Amino acid sequence: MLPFNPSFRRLLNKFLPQLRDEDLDRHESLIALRQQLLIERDLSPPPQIAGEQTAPALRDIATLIERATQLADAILRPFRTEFRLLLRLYDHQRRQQLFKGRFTPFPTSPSSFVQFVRHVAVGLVLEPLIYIRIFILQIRRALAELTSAQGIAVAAAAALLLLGVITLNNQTVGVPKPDISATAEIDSGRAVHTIEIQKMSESQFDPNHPQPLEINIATESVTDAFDGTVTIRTIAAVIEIIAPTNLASAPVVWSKAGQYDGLEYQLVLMQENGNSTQIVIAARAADQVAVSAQDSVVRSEYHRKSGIRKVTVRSVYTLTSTTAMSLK
Amino acid sequence: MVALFMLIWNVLKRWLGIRITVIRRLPAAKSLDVHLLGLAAAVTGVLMASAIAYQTTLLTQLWVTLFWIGLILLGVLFGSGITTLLAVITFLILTLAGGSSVLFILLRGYVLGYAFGAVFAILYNDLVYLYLRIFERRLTKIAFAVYDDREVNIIKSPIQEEERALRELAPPRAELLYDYEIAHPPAAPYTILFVANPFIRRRKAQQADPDVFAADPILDDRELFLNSVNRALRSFEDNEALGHPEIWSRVRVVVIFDDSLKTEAASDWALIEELQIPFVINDETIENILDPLPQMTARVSNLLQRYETRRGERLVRIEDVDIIFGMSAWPNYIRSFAHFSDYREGQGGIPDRAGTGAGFHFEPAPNNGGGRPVNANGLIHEFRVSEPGRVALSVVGANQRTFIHEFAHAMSSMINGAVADEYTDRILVIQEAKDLNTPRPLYINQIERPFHNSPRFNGVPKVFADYNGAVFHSDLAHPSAKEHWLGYFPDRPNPDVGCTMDRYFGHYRFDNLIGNFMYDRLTAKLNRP
Repeated sequence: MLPFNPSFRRLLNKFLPQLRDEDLDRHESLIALRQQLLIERDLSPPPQIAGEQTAPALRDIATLIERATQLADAILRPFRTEFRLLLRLYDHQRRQQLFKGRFTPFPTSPSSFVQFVRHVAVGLVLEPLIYIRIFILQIRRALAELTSAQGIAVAAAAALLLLGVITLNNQTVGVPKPDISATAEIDSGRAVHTIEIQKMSESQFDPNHPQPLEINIATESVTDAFDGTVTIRTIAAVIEIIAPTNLASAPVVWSKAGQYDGLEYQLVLMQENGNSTQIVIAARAADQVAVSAQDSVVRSEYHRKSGIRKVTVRSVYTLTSTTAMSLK
Repeated sequence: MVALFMLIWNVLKRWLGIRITVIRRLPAAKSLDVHLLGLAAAVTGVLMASAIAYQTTLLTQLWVTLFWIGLILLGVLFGSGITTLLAVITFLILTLAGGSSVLFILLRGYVLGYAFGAVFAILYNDLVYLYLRIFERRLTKIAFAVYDDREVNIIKSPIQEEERALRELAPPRAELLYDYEIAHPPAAPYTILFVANPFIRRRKAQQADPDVFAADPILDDRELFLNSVNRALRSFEDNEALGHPEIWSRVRVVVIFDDSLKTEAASDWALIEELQIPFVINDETIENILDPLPQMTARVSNLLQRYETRRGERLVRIEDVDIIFGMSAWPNYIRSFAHFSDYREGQGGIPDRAGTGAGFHFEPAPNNGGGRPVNANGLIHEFRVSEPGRVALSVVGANQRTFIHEFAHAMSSMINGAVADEYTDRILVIQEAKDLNTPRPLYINQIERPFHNSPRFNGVPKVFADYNGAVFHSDLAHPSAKEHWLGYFPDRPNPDVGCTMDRYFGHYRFDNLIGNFMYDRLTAKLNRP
C-alpha cells in the first residue's frame, strides 16, 4: 500500500495546516505497518530461538495491530470531520480528472457520459457545500484560538467586506440596453447631452394598472464638464409627459420638439447650474396621453483630481393612460 | 467538438456492427488545462470589466476595490467551485436587482471570462488532437484492442494468436505499441489479470453483523476500466524490471469486464471489500482502504469457467494466472492494498503443490547487530503459485506509481521472499523486546536490528545481503528512516531517486536488490513448463 496520493496530501496541507507533515508521515507509516501486521498474523509462530523468551506471539500481534490503529487514529481524530470532507472532495476531483482525456474534458462513450453527468450534477452541489463546511469548521477552530485584539481585527475586516458587497450592490451604472430607437442631443450652451431613447415593448405596459416607469439619465463620460462635451445616455421609453407642474417655474435652458413613432415629444432642459442638472423629457401624444412626474432626483459628483464630473438624473413617472399601448 | 463526435461514434458503432474497441496512446503534445485557462481568463474578465468601463466607480470606492481584489483571490483559490457559485450569484443578482449593479458587472466579467477561457482551451485541444490523429499517425500507437461483446479478452500476449481482437483488426505493425516478435514464446506466459469488480462488501460495524454488498460503479463505466488498464500497462512498461523488453514482451495480460454480473447475486461475485478492521476503537478509525476478499481467486476462476461455458472456448485457466488486479471505483476508498502471492487468509503462506521452481540463495549479512536471524533456507522462485498475488486497486486514487508498487507486493511470495513497504517500521508500536517475537515472512528488502533499551547504538551494517552470489549493500541514507527505526533497507541505484516501495520522493526505481529479485523471479516463471 502506498502512502496518501501526493495530490491528496496537498489538499490536506492546504485545508488542514494544523496537520504537520510529520504527523501525516507517521499516520501513513502506522497504517502501512498495521496492514503488514494484518497479513503477518496469519503466519504460524516463528521457531523458538535459544535464549529468547517464549511469548504468545499471535496474541501479541493482535495487540500490536490494536496499538497501531489507536496511534494512527489519534493523529487524525481532532480533524475527523474535515478529513472526511476532504476525502470526498478529493474523490470528486479525481473522478473529474479521470473522465478527462488529455485532450478532451468530456467523456466519449455512453457509459462514461452517464457517469459524467451524474458526477457533475452531484459535484455542482457537493463541491461548494464541502468548501463552505470546511471553511466554517476552520473559522470556528480559528475563532476559538483568537485573542480579543485579533477578534476585533477579524470583525472589522468582515464588516469591511460586507460593506463592500453592499456598496457594490447599491452602485448602479448605466448599462446601455441594446434596443436604442432614437437619440437626441441637448446643447445647453455649456455642454452637449446626448439622449438615447429606447423603444419599449408592448408587454411592458399594462393599461389597466398604471405602473411607474423609470428613466435613467446618466453621464457616461465627461471630458470637461464645464467646457467640453457632455454625453448623457439614457435608458428610457418614449414617455408621454405633460410638462411637469412642479418644475414649471424652473428656467428652460433648452428645448427641442420631435416626433417618434406617431408620438410628438419635447425634450426640455429645465435648469442647469454648476452642481446639478435637471432634465425633463416631455412628450405629447396625439391623443393626449397623461403621465405625471412624481419624482426627480439629481445627483452630481465632481472628481477634483481628474476633473471628471458625473451627473446622474433619475426620474420616475407614472403611466396613466391606456394609449401607451400604441408604443411598440 | 471531438468529444461529441467520439460519443456519437461510440453509440453508432454498435449499430454498424463494429465490435472492437481500440485503446490508443497519443504522443506527448502540449494541451491546455481547461479549468486553469478558464480561471486566468476569468481574472482578466474582471480586470477588463473594471478597468475599461467602470474605472471611476472602482477607483473611488475603497470597499469596491477590496471586494474586487478579494473576488480575484477567491476565484483563483477555489477554482471551479467558486466559479459555479459566482455564476449562481450573478444569475440571482441579474434576476433580483436588475443587473445594473457594479457587483453584477464584476461577476459577469468573471463568469464570461471563465467561459471564454474554457471554450478556447477545449477548441485548442481539439485541434491538437485532430492534428495528431490526421497528420501524425505514425506517432499514435495502439496499446490494445478488446471485443465489445466478450467478457474476457487477452489484450497482450507473447503468443500472438491470443491477441484475437488485435489480430482481427490487423493494423499496420508500425501502429502497434507492443510490436514484439518472440520466436519461441513461453508455454505458459507470466499472466496478469485485470478484472472489473462487480460488487463490494461493505464494512461491518460488528463482526457478527450480516454481510452487506453494494454495486461497484466501475461496472457502469467500461471506458474508465479500459483506461485504467491502459494506465497500468504504462506503469509496468516504464518500470526497469518488469518493463525490460525481454521480460515485458513475454508477459500476458488478460482483462475481464462482465457487466451481466450486475443482475447476479452480489454475495457470489464480490471480489473486494472495504477493509474490515477488527480492532476499531469506538468505530473511530478513518478508513479508506480497499482489501481483496479471500474468495477473489475462486470467483475469478468461476468467471473464467463461465466464459468458457458461454463461449465454448478456453482462453486462460486460473492456474496460469500469477497476479489478479481487482479494479474498483468505489467512492471515497482511494487507497489500494495488495496481498502477496502464496498468501491465504487465516492460513498464512501456502506452498505450491508442485513445489517446483528455481532455487535461489539469500543470506542477510551476519553482522546485523544481533537482530533476529532470518530463516532463508530452501528458497525457490516457484514456477506456479498456490494463490495468485491479489490487488484491490482503487482506479480513483491510483496514480502511475501505484500499479507497479502494488505489483511488486503481489508478485513477491509470502513464503519465498516478500517485498515490504519501506516507509514503515515496527518500532512505531514496539514497547518491549517481547513485542518483536511475532511471526514475520522473509522480507527481501527489510532486515531488523535488535530492539534495545540502552544507550548502545547499532549502526546499519554496510552489507545488506548476499543474493545469488552478488553482494548488495545497505542504504545508509534511507530517506524515510527515523532516528529510532530498527529496520534497514538495500541501497538504491541512485541516491537521488527514491525506491518504488518507499514514500514519494520524486523519481522512483526499485532498490538494486528488489530489481534483481524481481528479474530472477519473473525469469523463473517465464521458463516454467
